[in-house]
Amino acid sequence: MTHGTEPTPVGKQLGTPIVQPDVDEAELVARLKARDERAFEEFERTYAARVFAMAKRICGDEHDAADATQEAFAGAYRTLAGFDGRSKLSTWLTRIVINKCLVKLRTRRRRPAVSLDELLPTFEADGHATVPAPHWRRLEEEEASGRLAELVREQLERLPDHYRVVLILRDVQGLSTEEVAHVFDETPNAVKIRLHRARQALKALLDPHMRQEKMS
Amino acid sequence: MSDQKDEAHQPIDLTCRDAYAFLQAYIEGELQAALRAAFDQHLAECSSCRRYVAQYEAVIAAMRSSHGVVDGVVDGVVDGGVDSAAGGVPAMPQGLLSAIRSLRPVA
Repeated sequence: MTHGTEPTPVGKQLGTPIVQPDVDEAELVARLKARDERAFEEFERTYAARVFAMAKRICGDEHDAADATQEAFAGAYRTLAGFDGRSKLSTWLTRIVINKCLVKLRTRRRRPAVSLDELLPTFEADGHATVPAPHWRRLEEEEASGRLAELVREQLERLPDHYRVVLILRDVQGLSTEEVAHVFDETPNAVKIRLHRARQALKALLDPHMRQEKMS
Repeated sequence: MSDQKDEAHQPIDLTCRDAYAFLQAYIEGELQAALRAAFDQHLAECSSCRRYVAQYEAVIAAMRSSHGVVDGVVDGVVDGGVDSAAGGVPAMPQGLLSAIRSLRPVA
């Protein structure tokens, strides 16, 4: 079990979808370790739906998400005895389910992802952008109609998993940079770089769909 | 020495390339004051970068709203059903909660 060597996130709450603010985690963990049936019930009722929701966002497929959720709980129960409380229970569970999802993604390749390098901005020798940012249609209208959100969902699927998952964890799930780094065993700086590239690439994918029609 | 001092007091002049590189730190409030002022100055002068920043921020906002993220407490999870008390958290497929229950370690 790798948990014992994990760094301890101090004073950080995991992103909103899995965290359960009212749960006394230390007390719950102690009861789980004592195999208290009511503690298992509480643990599952607290986290199962949110773990599934996170898995569905990452896997993009309900069947894989259900498998990953089940495997995550199996893994959690299998390694519960070694959980030493140095990280939050929710952080620990998140890390387990994301790893299960990543295995699913590796074995079930979706449509070929775009090449990220082709989507990143380029610059002239004097530092000016080679192509100025296009004019988008009115953002307020696109947001209000839900069209922008729909486009984001569509285009997000075209990004390589490595970038897509970071975007989901950081911008959808609301995990902090440090928490994402903890999940991937990377430095916060590496996560920041990947996140910035992913956001830039996603914006570039949205550009053709959001570009304002030229006035004649 | 005086040259060094003058250099230190030179205004920071950012290019579009610099602005794109600092953008994430800018919107997350991580830029040091002098750099932030230089970033703002660049935005005041560059309409392309102003659009880029607005669109980048819109992408982040749309990411959050595009996936129906909900805050709050999950209560009353229903296997395969929708429970309004769950605050909009997607219902789990039929049988998943039962399958998870079957995984509990034996007392």
